[in-house]
Amino acid sequence: MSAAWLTIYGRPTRAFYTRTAEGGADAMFGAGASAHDTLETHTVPDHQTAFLGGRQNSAIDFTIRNPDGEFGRLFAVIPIGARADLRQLRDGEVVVLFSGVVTQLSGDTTIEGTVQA
Amino acid sequence: MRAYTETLPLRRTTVWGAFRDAKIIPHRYGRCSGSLLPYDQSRKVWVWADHACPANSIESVTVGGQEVAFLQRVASDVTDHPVTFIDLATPVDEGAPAPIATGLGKMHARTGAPIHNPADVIHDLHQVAGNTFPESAIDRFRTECEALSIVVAGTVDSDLQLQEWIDQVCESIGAQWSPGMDGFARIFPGGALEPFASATITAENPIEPETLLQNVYNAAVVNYGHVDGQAKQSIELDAPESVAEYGRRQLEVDARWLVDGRVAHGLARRLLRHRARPNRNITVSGMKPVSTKRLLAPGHTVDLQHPRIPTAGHCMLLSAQTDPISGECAGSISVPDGAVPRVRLVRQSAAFEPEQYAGVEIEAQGDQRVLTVTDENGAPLANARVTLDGEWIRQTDAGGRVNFPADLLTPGNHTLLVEAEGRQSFTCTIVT
Repeated sequence: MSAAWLTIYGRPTRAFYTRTAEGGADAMFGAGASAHDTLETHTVPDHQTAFLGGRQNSAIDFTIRNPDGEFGRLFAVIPIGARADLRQLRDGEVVVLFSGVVTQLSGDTTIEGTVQA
Repeated sequence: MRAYTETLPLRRTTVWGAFRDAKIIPHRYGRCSGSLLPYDQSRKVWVWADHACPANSIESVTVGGQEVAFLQRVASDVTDHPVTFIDLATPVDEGAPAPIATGLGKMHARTGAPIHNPADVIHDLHQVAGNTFPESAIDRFRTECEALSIVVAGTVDSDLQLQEWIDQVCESIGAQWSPGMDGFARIFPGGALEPFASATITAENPIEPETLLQNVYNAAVVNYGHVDGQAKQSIELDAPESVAEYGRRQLEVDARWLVDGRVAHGLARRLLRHRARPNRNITVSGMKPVSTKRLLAPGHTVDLQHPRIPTAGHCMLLSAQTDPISGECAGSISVPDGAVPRVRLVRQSAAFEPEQYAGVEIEAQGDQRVLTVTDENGAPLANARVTLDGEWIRQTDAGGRVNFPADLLTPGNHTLLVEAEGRQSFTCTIVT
């Protein structure tokens, strides 16, 4: 299974993946998304219903390396409130693991963020 | 786009200028009742909803309990936004309670039909939030609600999060939802399962079952028919054998979006049939989907075949965490133990024909589908003539049961006509 990548549909759209991601980046990230190999971690998507006391407002947290402040330079506007999703290539098909809105961004040399459904 | 934790961007009366109270201008759905908002100082022009409503769909307007003459019109307000106005012939006295109207709410943008299917309400709430949410994404739920004749009505007029509004709608009808759910929402418990299992739970899967007495409920009170946030009607059902065994354990549901006693009865019945007995809430790990391209998600059917759990068969996945690297999924299910309890109507606050509460339950037994026909008290209807899709006729046994081959109950909607001596015949739609 290939590693997942995070696309933030800000201005402009940017995709972030880990260095271990497999090739074929253009096909994976889609038209209009510039790809950057600075995604360090992301949490596992957790989809719940309320029946057993779960919370439907699931979220994923991510960290992106930002040693020289590149993250800020990549976006014309800080992508808070932008749509974002986590995708993965599975048997040759792109599958959406999680989608939501960037609700939090913080950090300096490492950017920590949250995407909330 | 807004996250589900954000409040809906509803307009307030301040957009009209020179307004003393900043009240939210409501969005209304289905056939509902509620207080009107004054549009100006004249006290003759009032607002029903912050959108267009079907022409001549306001049935009545009362002031202090007395019906008054009115004219309904859809027009642009001072901001050029379409609003449904109610014009009164005479002004309402300053300080007197606001007029209360009863009528239809929002229309479907494409079809022009009133929005009262829960799926359409949820779709429209996404539109109000400014989120892209294709109607097709919730088709399955719409069909499920149609088959159970579930309609809702309500008013969106407070600063709640998008997810809180969806919670209200789903809780009112006994549905579960998740943004990650395939089809967004499902009736649970008591809804139709997907016909195929997306994963099988076997001895290879680590499980953590938990059964809690506090999760057993054997009496249900559903409050419904709300006007300005206050329930005007209620219905009470119980499971008498379970009450005798565990003591009375009551669940109260504030069904703010329900207006129909028959739907309220159906909700209480479905809840008690699942919850009036011990439930194994099971956390499962290491599940592998049958297709790597189809991630496991809440709402999917899983086939429980675990040697440590005496109950086997299909059940609905209630949560799902997929590890992108291993592809394996952890999730949870809720499996009731023992026989389906008998449920009876104890009290209702409004008059309905008892026949409305009769019902049919379906169980899979190999290549057969066993249908149990019950009356309004949950008692089996013996010797009833059951006609499936106008063609296949069977007679119920002493337990109210009839068998049909699974081939005849293909996935989708089917019609059953039930005729029993000494009672009114009834037709119902079942979903398989």
